Amino acid sequence: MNNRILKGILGTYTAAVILLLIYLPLIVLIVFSFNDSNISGLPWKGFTLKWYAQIGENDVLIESLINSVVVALIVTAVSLVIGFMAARGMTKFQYKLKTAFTGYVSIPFVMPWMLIGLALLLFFNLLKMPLSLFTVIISHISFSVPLVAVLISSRLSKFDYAIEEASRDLGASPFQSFKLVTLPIIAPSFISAGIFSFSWSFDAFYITHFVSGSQVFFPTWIWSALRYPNKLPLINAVSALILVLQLAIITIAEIIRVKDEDASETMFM
Amino acid sequence: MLNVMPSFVYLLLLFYIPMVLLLVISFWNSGFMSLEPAFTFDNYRKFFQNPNYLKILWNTLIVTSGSMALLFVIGYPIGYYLGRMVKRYGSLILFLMIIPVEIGFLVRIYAWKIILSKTGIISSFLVHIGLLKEPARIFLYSRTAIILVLIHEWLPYVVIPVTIALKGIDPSTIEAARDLGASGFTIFRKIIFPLSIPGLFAAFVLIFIPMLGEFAIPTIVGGSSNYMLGNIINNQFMAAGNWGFGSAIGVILLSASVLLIALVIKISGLEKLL
Repeated sequence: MNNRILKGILGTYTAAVILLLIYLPLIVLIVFSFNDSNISGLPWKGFTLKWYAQIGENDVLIESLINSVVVALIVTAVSLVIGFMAARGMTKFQYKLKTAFTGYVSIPFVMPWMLIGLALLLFFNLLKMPLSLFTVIISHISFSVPLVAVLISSRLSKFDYAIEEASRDLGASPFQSFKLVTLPIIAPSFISAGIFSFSWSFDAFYITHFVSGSQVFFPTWIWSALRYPNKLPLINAVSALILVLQLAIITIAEIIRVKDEDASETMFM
Repeated sequence: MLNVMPSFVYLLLLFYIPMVLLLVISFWNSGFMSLEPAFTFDNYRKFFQNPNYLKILWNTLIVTSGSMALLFVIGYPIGYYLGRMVKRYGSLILFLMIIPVEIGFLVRIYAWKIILSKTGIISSFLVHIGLLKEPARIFLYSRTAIILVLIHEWLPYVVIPVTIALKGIDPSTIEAARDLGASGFTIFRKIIFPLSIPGLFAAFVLIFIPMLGEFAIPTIVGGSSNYMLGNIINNQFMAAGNWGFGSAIGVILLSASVLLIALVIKISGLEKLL
């Protein structure tokens, strides 16, 4: 077959699959959030903003959003520090255990979130720790540290540690060396890893579900609200709103990352 | 060593020890809201002696393997296109694929429910063009619906490793084959496809285990007759209060996935490549 024809067919196929299998649900969700009807579906009953107006009136929903933002902010701050240090360990030294350490940090990646969540539930129960915002935060960190470490280490693997040593030889303290030499170079991957970790934590249903106890968070609020048909239009509106916000934030993160990767001459991931 | 310590200690305390605890508790004496240290296989026996649970295990394996196979079939041509035919916009297209599946997990499943429901766009469209006499659910509350949403959720994670594997093929290898008279199809069958197998394997490991632990998708679009192992575990923990039994099913789930991955390595002869 002619290469050009094949390219045309595969290009059309790729576009169709992305649109129908990946984007269709997002489009449907956003469109129906403006439908003036109690059921999320056709026929179209006219344009309305009333479901959006309901968001502010639902105290539990607002509380869940605040809780999720607070958790995601703390999780991100802590995992950036620990994850960055881990990424240095994964890239800096040539010791034999480097591969083993990389494996150690990456294993949570291939574990089902549900099992992480219930293992932590058993752990907190054994220690008689009451479930709270705190247990949710420390649980999320056990997944976001690997996430941040993997994202930052892909950038650090191209970082020349010799310039750090040079600055130390010239009399900089470890902190000065980090602030004036290392940070400016890795800042883009730092920011994008932070945004990814925030976005992940905000959305993490499986882990939150098991360790949140009676506290309400955004994903767990949705999970329980899905059972009530009269709440469905509200779910539609609030999630369309959050989706667009998250889409904007994560797009910025990705643009920062790709630009940075291009600058260091690499392809995706 | 200073850099390694914080994450080492943190993950030890809040990942590895809890995971080991899960394994240990699966051997404890466990009943409704009771849990006491012991060493017994009762929880495992309870699972393997009940045909209903075995049916759900089977159902889980069918749904996840079926999704995996379809993911490869649907995703491979996209990976081929991005890895071998697109020069400039490859990263942009991958980016466009991955962004939606990073956010709004539960809500996207719910959106599929809207699409497949009686009042959804597919049903309305089919009525409109005369293929359906009256509105009806399309696949909703079936295995097919679960597989559809699983494909939606994981497709980008198949495309990325395949794209990377295909991009890494040395062009001179293919030129050499062409100079020696190989046809386009022969080149694909003898060179390109074998060299992309590690990419397929990476996708398999990345996706298969998390997919086995799914319970939100079967709950929302699958219906109770199509529950997966994840649903049973969730019920044991959140409703039935039998944590030891729930842990045992978790261990079974994890062992099943490790066994399957080992089997795939064995059958595909991948150990020679690794």
